[in-house]
Order: sequence, then C-alpha cells, then structure tokens
Amino acid sequence: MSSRQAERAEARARREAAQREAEARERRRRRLWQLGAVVAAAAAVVVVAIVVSSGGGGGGSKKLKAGRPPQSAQVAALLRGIPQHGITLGSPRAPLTMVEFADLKCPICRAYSEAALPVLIRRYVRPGKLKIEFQPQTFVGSPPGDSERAARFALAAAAQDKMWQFSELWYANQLDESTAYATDSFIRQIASGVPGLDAQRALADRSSSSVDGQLQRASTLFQNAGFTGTPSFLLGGRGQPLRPLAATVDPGQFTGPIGRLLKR
Amino acid sequence: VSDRGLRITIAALALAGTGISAYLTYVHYAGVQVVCVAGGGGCETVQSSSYAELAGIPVAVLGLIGYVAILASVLVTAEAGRLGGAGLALAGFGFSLYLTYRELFTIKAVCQWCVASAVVMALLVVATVWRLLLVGEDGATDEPAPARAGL
Repeated sequence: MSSRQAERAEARARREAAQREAEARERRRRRLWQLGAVVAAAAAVVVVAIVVSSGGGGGGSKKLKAGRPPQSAQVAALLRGIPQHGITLGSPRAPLTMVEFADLKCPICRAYSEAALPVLIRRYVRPGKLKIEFQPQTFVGSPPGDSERAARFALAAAAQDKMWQFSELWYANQLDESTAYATDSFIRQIASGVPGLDAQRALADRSSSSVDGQLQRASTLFQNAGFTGTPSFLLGGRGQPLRPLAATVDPGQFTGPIGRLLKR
Repeated sequence: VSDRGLRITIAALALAGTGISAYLTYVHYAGVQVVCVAGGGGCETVQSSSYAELAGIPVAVLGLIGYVAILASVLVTAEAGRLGGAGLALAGFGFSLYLTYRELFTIKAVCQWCVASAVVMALLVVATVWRLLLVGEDGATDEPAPARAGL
C-alpha cells in the first residue's frame, strides 16, 4: 500500500516537474518574443529620429531636393531675435566687431559656419558682446561667375536685413564647389527657406549700383587686410583698429582672442 | 542577480544619465560654455551643431526625458515597467550610436558628455534587457531562490 502511494507521489511529482518545465519554456519563449518586439519598436523610433535629425542631408550633397531647403528651421532658430542691419549681425552697441570675409561656395567657409559661428552667436552675439559683418567674396572662380551670383544675391538680401539667414541656409545646403549650381533656381530655393525675404525683389536688386559698390568695397577691404584666402577675419574693440585674426574653423581660435578683448 | 539588484543598478545608471543630460540642458538654455574635461572645443562644437536638436527640441532635453522615464520604469514591478525600460534604453542607445557617428564623421568633434551618456545608455541596455529576460512575471528571477520586488 505504502509502495503504491509512493509510486503515485512520484508520478505526481514527475507530472508537476514536467508542467513546471513546460511553463518555464513558455515563459522564456514569451520573453524572447517580447524582447524582439521591444527591439523592433526601438529600432523604428531610432530610424524616425535619424530621418528627422538628418533633415534630408546638409552641405556637400550632390543636389538639393525640391521644396523648402533642409535646415531652414535650424537656421531660423540660430538667428531668431538677433538684430540685423544690412550685412551686420548683432547689436550695433556691441563692444567688439568681427568682419568675416567668406565665399558662399567655399567649403572651408561652410565648415566655419557649421563649427564656429553657432558658438560665437550663442556666446557673444546673442548676449550683445559681438557683432559680425559679412563681407562676401567671389573667390571660387570655377565655373566663372557662380560665386559672384551668390554674393550679389546675399548683398541684395542684406537690403532686407535677411542676409544672414540666406547665407547660413546657403552654407547648410552648399553643393560641390566645382559645379555651376548658383543658378537663379537654386538661389530662389534657398531664399524660400528664409521667412520674410522677398526673393523677387532681391533678384532684381542684385544688379543695382548699391550691390556693385558693396561687392567692390568687400574686395578692397579683403585686399587691404592682406588676405589671400577665405574664410578670413578681422577683429577689434570699439574705437580700436580691426586686426587680422588667425582663425578658420576651430571655435577655440575665436573664443580665445574674443575673450581677451572683452576682459580689457 | 535579483530583480531588486537589477532595479538598483538601473536606477543608479539612470540617475547618472539624468545628471549628464540635465547639465547639458542647463548649458543649452543658459548659453554658458560646456565644461570639457580635456579642454578643446569639442563639446562646444557638438552642442552648437545642428545635430544638437531634433525637430527643434534639444537632444539634451530628449535625453533627460528618456533617463527620467527609465528611472520611473524601475518603480513599476509589472511587465510594463520591464518592457518600457528596455524599449527606452534600446532606443536611447540606438540614437546615441547615430549621434556618435555624426560626431566622428560629420561634425568631426567629440563631446565627452555625449560619450559618457552613450556609455551609460549601453550599460542600461544590458541591465534592462537582463531584467526583461530573467525576471518572472511575479517580479522574481528565474534563479532557484526568488527575490521579491521592492526597491
């Protein structure tokens, strides 16, 4: 009798063990499915985030897709609320002035615009410590006239106090410097990403005597400073002569001298 | 490792991540210079780049929200807490990898705070996935001596 009871108990224990093992297997299977679902959901979120972050690609791409140019919102946010008068960005009362000589088709100028300029704007221009003048150059001569078309439109946009939005958005969407991409169509497309800029008026103004004079002045200033390439910079305090600044792309090359001048 | 141990680990890592992202959020809105341990302009360059924002929202703010949500997930002993924690950590880690790629190959500058956050997020992936796979529905591990939940 006791032997039969023991056999029954043993069989029950085996059944229960088998059941527990089956349940454990089921739990493990379920958790692997859950992990797969979580990984898939996370991957979907990351893909969406990457697409939004990339914004369709920035400078250096082979062509610009139709529609509002990428980075329009970022450029608008960078410059929002900062005073702008003609070619000058920043408060007219800022104690320091920096003059930027750059070519809209020059890739290093774009690198400066992406790496250093946002730092300068955030740290010095927005708080009213520095104002920056943009003196466009027409250095990239291949193909001929392309740089000048871009520079002329930028100066015409300055008459509407929209030069900085235009030039920064241009840099964000800059294409291969060896191609003739500064067409009216490309210019219009970049201008479409600048709220408040009357592109038609700027296209008409770019051949004006005023733009001719500004372009000539920008070139003369560049030569008088002894510069030979872009980007090049002059920096100085109020009432002081502007001096060449040995800086190109690295923010530290700007923040050091600017910080020292502000401490004086 | 007990569920309690994993939750404490996740909470500690999420707190570290919260600290990093809170600092970067402060820097973003206060307009002050980022403190970079080894000097150089890497942090400033990365924080000022277009990749520092996603759809107009600073990435630091998104990170802060993510870390706080992971921290909150350890307080939820139910399955939703484990799933949510693992999902957030995996998504955060995936995006961290993308940002690190951008730092190295697009911005060409490295921000130590971002690298630290990526490392924290990688550790969070290990801990949260471990918690998801090893902890039973009753909040106990599959180990022979189950431990009740309770942080």
